[in-house]
Amino acid sequence: MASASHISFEQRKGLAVRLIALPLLHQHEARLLQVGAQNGLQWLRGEISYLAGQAIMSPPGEHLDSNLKDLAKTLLTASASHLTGTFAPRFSPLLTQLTGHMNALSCCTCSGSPSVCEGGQNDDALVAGGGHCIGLLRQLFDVALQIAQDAFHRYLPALSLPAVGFSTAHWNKKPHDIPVELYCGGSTAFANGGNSVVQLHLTPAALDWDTCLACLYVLVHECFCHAFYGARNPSKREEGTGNDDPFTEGWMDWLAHELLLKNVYLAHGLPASGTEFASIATIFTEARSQYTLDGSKPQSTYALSRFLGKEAAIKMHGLLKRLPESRAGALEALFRLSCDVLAEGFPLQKHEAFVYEVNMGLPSPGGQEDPYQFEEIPRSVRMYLINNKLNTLFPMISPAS
Amino acid sequence: MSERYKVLGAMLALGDFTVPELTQYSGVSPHTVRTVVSRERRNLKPLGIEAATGRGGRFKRLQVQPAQAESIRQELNELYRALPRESTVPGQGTESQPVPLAILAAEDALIRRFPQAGAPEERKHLLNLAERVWQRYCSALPEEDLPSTTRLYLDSLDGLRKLCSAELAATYEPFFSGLAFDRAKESMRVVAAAFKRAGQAGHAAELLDRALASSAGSPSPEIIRSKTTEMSESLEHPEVYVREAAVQAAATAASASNASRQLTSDIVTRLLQDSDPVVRRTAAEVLGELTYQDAAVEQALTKAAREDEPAVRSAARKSLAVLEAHSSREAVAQALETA
Repeated sequence: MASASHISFEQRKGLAVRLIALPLLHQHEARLLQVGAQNGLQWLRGEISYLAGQAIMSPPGEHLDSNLKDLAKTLLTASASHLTGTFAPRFSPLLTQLTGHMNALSCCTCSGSPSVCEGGQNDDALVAGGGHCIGLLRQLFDVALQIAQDAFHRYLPALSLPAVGFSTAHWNKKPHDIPVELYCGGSTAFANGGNSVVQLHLTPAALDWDTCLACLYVLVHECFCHAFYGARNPSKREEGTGNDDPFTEGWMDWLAHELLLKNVYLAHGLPASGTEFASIATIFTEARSQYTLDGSKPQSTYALSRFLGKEAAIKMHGLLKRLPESRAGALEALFRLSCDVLAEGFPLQKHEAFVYEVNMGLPSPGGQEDPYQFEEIPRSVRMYLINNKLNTLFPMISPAS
Repeated sequence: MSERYKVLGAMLALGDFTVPELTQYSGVSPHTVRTVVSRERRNLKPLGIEAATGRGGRFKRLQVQPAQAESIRQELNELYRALPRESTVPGQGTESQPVPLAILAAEDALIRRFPQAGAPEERKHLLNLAERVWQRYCSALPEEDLPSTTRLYLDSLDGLRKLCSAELAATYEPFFSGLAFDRAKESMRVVAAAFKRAGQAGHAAELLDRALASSAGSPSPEIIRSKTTEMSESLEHPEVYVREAAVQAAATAASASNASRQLTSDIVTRLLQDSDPVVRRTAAEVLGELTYQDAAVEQALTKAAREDEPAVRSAARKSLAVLEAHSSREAVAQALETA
């Protein structure tokens, strides 16, 4: 099986510089700002961007670790002339860490052999096997996948989950049209053998710390909302349901955000606190489904689909809080139901019908039902909670077809 | 009244229940729930007694007698109409209320999903969903109680529903559906203009794009009139969408025809006898537009104005008002001529 593709060797050289520097800059930022070293910090950020650009333009045959070592030297030399005066000692720990990390990266260690990335066809396999140059992204992917797998194991213990690979892709511009300045996005593809491949889309030139934090949310979204789509029949999966699927993009995304909030605090070894990841995730998910009725065209093409899906999930949650079988654990029940629907692998039309039915057939939480909203959906959902059979949930999403 | 409404609704929603379950579902106090259950005891069937989890003794499990469910539904409808209108967002006036999600979902279904849906069954399902939403919001509240934006979206939904219905009809019977397309597009044009006036130019453009994506040539009234046999067959077609289109075609033909009496009679028959409320509503609507009128039309509309289906009732009342206004104008014109 071919390895999942990754950002090109040249771009990865620049990306590695940023991925090493950004967590360290973040780690030292508060301390440096507190002593008034904002100018020096600003210079250092600019220097890192410059070095990342230099890395991309380095000779094609130069190995990534050699390039990083050269850049570390350049950084030290430049710092000596720019970070002078009373603030110079304040930057010393940061510079030591930065250059230390840059010097420590070894392509041979990463690949476990003398064969290392050189811009050839073997690079993707090497990155898949090691990928130290994009270590931060891989770490975020591992956490995201763990969160999603744990959820599916918990709610559908009998379900066998497909393996999920990690891939990265370079974008010249923001990889989405969502009105938020976060330069990452994602997609999930299904390989021939039934496995899933989650691809992180990045705009390296615009990579900042907030985008790094947002990558975790994007990866949780891809792993939880897409990677296990149709997991009951993974070998039959051909394609996902598309960016305008209100169920995966709105309903499941709302739950993915909830899942991330619940679990990010439990993850160890991440370069930021759970609160930091959570707050960026909230900003991103809210921007995705931002839809207003003021007459302005939504900035994001699929905002309405996401909005309808999210609102339907919230309505279903409201119902589950009232039903005798689920009121003690309504959110858990919603997770189980949602994972069940996703794992069945319904086509887009059935996902849509499901979301429309819920939006039309249930009141908003706290709102008053009209007479038509009492029977059909509450009874179907109650029956589903009792017998765990998807075909009792809604005739429109019966697995029979 | 509101609490009784909630408890009765909870009974239908749960199917079988205990008093604590009704309390939890309805959000009404246990005392009131017990009072409602006690008053409804003749309509309820005991299913057994069960112990409550934790503290709280034993409870009867009950079920609405299947034969009584319909009368409870009717009472729910009546109670709902009489309920005081609440602002769903505290502190917001009616006009600034957001458009109900169900309407947005239905509109989206017809603008974007319907054209993408492959099989006619999927299209019918989306159309039925949208129709239910339209009926629900139109019939639940008097028109004047609806916020103006919601009214606008309901008009949009109605226009889209007609457009999609014509598209479906065309898959069975392309000839008469052309006229239904024209009428639906005209509705959409009017609604789009209203959205534009309301400052929602983007949405107006979206509606026009959707309407213009439907292409069907409309036959002339003369050609339609020459197809009387086919029209009769279409008026009796098993597919509701074809009958709806045929009613509209018959109205167009009747407006400039020697056979107005027969065509009008055919439409009256649909109004009084068609099994589907969508066809009856369309018949009620077009009867108000006809130039040829007789006592049978007025009688049929008067009867329809009292029928159970709110959408038909409303359309019949509007058409009767149009006829009345028309008669008054004619009387005035005649009087002026005589003078």
